[in-house]
Amino acid sequence: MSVYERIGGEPAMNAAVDIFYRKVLSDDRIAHFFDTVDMEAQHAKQKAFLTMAFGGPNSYTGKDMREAHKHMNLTEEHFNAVAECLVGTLEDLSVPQSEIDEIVGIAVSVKDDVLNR
Amino acid sequence: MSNSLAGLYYEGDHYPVNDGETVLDALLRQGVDARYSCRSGLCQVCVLQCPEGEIPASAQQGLSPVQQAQNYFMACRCAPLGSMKILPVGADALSCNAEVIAKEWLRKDILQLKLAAEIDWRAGQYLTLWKDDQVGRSYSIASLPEDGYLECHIKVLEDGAFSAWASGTLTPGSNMRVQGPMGLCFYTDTSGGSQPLLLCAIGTGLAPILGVVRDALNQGHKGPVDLVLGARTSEDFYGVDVLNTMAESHENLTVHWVSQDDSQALAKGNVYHYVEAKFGGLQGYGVYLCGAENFVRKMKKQCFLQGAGMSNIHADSFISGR
Repeated sequence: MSVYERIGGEPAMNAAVDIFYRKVLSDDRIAHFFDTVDMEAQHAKQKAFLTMAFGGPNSYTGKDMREAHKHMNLTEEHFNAVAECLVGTLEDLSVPQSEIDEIVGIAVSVKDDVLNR
Repeated sequence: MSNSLAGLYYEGDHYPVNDGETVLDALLRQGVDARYSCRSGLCQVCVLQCPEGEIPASAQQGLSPVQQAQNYFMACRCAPLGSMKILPVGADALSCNAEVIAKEWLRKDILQLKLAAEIDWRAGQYLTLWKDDQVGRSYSIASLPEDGYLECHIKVLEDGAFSAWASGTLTPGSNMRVQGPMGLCFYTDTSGGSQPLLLCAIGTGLAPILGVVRDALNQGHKGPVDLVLGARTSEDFYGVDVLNTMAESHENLTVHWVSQDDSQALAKGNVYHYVEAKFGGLQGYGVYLCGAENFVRKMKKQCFLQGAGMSNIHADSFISGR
């Protein structure tokens, strides 16, 4: 069973994204990137990414990640900050460590796209 | 990419489109008298029709299924994917007739218009009111269908293309075109009426919020309803008697008047600090926010960080005609 199914599928994703997005907006290393974005649009994009990362149905492509982030000149520190928010979210949702590791693995797999390397 | 075969075919002429331009940008840049207002995909003043060519989905968002099927689209939201043949849409095709049945002043610069029109709506939605074929502006609906009329609160600006005309020219019996209703900021309930509600408004953001409060109470909402109104000075508040009367007859309604001056000890301070101090955690709340863009954006983020779920926050930003 995927994390997506375990936490309750689509209806639970909204709450999961809320938790994640709150952590991101409260993290001084990265919060400023979101100052001018439309919150609902951003929430939807994060939901799409997290759905993919949690093993849910998705049509996410790495190309989207690269295009979306390349103008921001992101660094390792920025990426790590988001990864920490993701881990924190999974811990809040009581996801077992082995699955947390698996999901972090998925996040790391798009690192080069996000950092435009 | 610019392609001499791409571009817009409008009223017999060809208009090239630069990279990153919308249809509206391209037409205005080349001297076409295209009408528009919010430039944000909300007011539907700039709607055109594209009988030939691909319409990006984002340019149709918010249009009714019938309008979409007729290939209507919003010019301000349309970055062309290829060449497009474009036709104007008569204001008549988008709107219907409304008659002014009452006109009163709620504050020296806020006009209350009551209109009769054959449309269905939910309190908190908005209409685009048309002065003529060119000038349309959006206003929220404060009344319920049961009231039998549409009520709008119009902030009158001295140089307001619509509001100055409305203030000076409209009288009961006047007719005008109205388009809509549009918008999703109306009372919705999945909690059996028990959810705590927080509604927050500044300025004429009160209009839709008043509608939502009345709608909620009318539908028997039993959970606590907290209405927080902010203003720079206490003289700026309007609708005070109406709201205080409502609070007296509904045990679960509390109205909080928050002004930044201390001439009247209502509650001194700004709405952001007030909501943060007074409401702590907003988990499980239904939140409704209306008013100027900056206020809505900031308050939405604050309420979210205070624990309100994104899907429970209903926000309506007033974007001025540009």
